[in-house]
Amino acid sequence: MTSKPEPNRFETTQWSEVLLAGDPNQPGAREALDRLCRKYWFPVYAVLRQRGASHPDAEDLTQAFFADILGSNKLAVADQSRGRFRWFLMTSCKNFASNVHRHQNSLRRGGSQTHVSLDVDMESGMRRYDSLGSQQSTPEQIFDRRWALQLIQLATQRVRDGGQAEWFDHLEPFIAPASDPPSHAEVAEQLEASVGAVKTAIHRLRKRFGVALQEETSETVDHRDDVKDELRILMEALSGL
Amino acid sequence: MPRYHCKTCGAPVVSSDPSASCPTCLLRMGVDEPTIARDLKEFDLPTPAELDVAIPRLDVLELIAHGGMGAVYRAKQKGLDRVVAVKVLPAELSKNDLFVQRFSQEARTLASLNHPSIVTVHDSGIAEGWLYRDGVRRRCDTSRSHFSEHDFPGKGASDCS
Repeated sequence: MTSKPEPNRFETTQWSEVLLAGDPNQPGAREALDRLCRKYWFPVYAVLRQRGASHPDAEDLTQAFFADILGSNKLAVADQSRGRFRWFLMTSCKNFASNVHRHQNSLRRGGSQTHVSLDVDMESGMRRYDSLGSQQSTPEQIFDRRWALQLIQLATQRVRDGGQAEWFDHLEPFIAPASDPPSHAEVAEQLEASVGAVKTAIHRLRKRFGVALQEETSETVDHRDDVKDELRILMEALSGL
Repeated sequence: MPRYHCKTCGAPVVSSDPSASCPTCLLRMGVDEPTIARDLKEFDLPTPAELDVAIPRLDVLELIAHGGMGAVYRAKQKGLDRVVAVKVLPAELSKNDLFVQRFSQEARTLASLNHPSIVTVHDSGIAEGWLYRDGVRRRCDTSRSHFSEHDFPGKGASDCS
């Protein structure tokens, strides 16, 4: 696989490292792909659930899907949908889901030689899926919405891990409240801070969240210029909930 | 599952939690925030004093320039009194094993070459989390004014890029 020569390529993007290597079995590339798969297993699980799989079946199939991705060279697909890890995973997931019965039979026959442990919280995934009715949507819509929510969760975690977790926990409802947020004075009292300090902290938190979101997104695209487009696509996906 | 609309943007929100955040508003923060540049000014550019501590064999004098993928400092090699340029990359890159491997390989290749237009690399490594290399280039490309003969009197222009 050849790499694009543009200067805007992210040197640190996990996905671009995978694409540059062209082979997930190369040192570094496989680990990068593995990290991405661990982060973004939930959209795959959601599509499999939407296709009618029960929680235990979807759990097994999600594992099988990533074993397939990580255990073989699927980057030919990535070449076609080059640029975004989301596209690569969605294309692969659609193909996998459409052949799910054949795949299950293959698994029963011992066709999968690769074992992969995603070490992810499937129970939490089940609750998250069950809390979002989605039977009317296409697999692409399901996938993109779950992807958006996963991205938000990763960015939230990144900001929280960035420091002042106690403040974050108190101020999180103020970042983007869908309804009326609690009063600043109330939270200021809990934090033993002034209302002004709380408002300043909220402003900074929003900026940090925006940056964290861009950083998480940048891990899954190949070019810097794609980050905001990717976020806009995901906003569009959420508008159809 | 209750569905309502965000008071701010009107986008649908599906949640049983009345204090839930609006995912669309959250994503918009990533769109509205100025694009992160892989640029050290966005990533805690080390001060010359910090680098001085991180790389004890150098006296780091000043920041010369910073750009898309790193920053370059002017420094003096202690003992030899030789002026060198130190290129420092964002700290996060030092956590990327594949990148570090490539960076080190490139430094080894440069160190093995001897040409007036090619950087002579003296050292490369990770210091206090910063991925760096330092060296000297004998002849300066005029388009790189930061590394003019004026900047590096007596030793020619230095660059590690």
